[in-house]
Amino acid sequence: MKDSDEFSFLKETFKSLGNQYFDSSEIIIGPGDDAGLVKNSQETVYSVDASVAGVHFPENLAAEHIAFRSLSTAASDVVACGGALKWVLVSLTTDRADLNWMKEFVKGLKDFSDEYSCPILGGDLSRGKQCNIAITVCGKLDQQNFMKRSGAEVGDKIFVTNELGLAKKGLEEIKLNPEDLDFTSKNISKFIRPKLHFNFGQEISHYANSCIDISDGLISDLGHICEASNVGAQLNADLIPVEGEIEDALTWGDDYELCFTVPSL
Amino acid sequence: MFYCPVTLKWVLVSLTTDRADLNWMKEFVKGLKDFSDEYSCPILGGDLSRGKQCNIAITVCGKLDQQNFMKRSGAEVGDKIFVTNELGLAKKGLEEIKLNPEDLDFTSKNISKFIRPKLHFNFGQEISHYANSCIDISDGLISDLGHICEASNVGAQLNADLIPVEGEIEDALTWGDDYELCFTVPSEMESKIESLGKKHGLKITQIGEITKTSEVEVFKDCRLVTFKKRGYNHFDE
Repeated sequence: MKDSDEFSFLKETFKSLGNQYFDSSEIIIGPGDDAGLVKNSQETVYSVDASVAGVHFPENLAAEHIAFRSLSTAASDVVACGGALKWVLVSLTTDRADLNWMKEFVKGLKDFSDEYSCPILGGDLSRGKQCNIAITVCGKLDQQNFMKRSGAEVGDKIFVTNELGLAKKGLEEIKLNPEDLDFTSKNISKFIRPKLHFNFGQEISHYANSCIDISDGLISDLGHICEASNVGAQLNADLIPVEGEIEDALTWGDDYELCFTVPSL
Repeated sequence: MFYCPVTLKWVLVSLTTDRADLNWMKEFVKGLKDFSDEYSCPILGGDLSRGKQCNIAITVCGKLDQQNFMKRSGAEVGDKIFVTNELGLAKKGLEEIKLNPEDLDFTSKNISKFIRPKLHFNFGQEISHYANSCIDISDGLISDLGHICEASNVGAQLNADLIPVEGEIEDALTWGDDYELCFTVPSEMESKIESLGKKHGLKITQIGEITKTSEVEVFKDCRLVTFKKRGYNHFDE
């Protein structure tokens, strides 16, 4: 008996997904063996994040968007540390066994891989009642530039990138018409394909005392910094660039912008 | 010879669960801690999500010297095929668990095998100097050895009379879950492998040979046998 078409398709696809970036990521052996083999000539950071259907994204979202968004939200942690993206691992649990769905999913993986020049080191496929994508990301950086949550100091100025609140509006627009997404809407683009500021994150890592990506909402995420750093924060809501309701913008998250603190000098 | 006793470096744990209660979490953490202690392996990080179904995605990191990486594509015609210990216990263990899941009998070696398969890190590292290819038996011997054969562009002949099994031979060869090792070694290294088995307290059995064909063929009483199923397929209903 042969493997199912879906399994074979995914297995074959993984072997060549982003393999043009293997050398720059120090990958010696990519997908197809029991494990990938990677050399590390620099300090590396690792993180895992799961995206669950109906919790992190709408259940009927197209597979392509599920893939791209799951990778983006996971890789965002590397940005927030000040790292460059090295590789990702994809563990997909899905209730959809059809080949078309898989092909769309792979398209999302490939688009991400090309967008950020990031190879897929390997993956795993399981059947389950609910779509669940666990992404492991690896980034590289110099240890002294690692932006810890515990690095904030009293007197630091707090900054955010871009605007907050677009992703929540995007999600609402998606739910109104999930089958036919309007990508001219900046809100929808923001939810589906949040832009990750790798280069900016690496540059500020030389100056910032602490940094976090805004996934759960500014107040909550900045709270993680404060807790870890044993400090507090005062924000002036009149200065915060928001789209839509201020409460939504500060407590919803999903924007994957950066919040960071810098000595005032 | 340089010998590094620990290859498991760290693990990452992504937990999705429908159980929000603290007791369940505490039990889950106990299992993490036991594993961490058993294999001297730290937990580097994790992620917690809510979902309809429990789903645990584990990322593992190990270290090795590149020249000792046992690739699936390394098997060569004439290699002897070995397995560690017995096959089939985990399936029996699963059946026992299903009969009485609330009150597991850990004196049953089958149940222990399913719940806490012993990982042969030290043995794996030692044979990596000699073996051409290796795979862990998760989906069933025939299916997993098939992955080696496919990647290596070779086939395999197995003698079912030699394979140490518990229970039905078909179950033992096609079910998986045993997490024993199947590996192939150039024939001149045979005796070395047997002594390594003794050193690590593992039963090592030679069960067949790598061939030029592209199939995994199983012989019993010198006759070719076929099974309904090769192994676990993630999308079979």
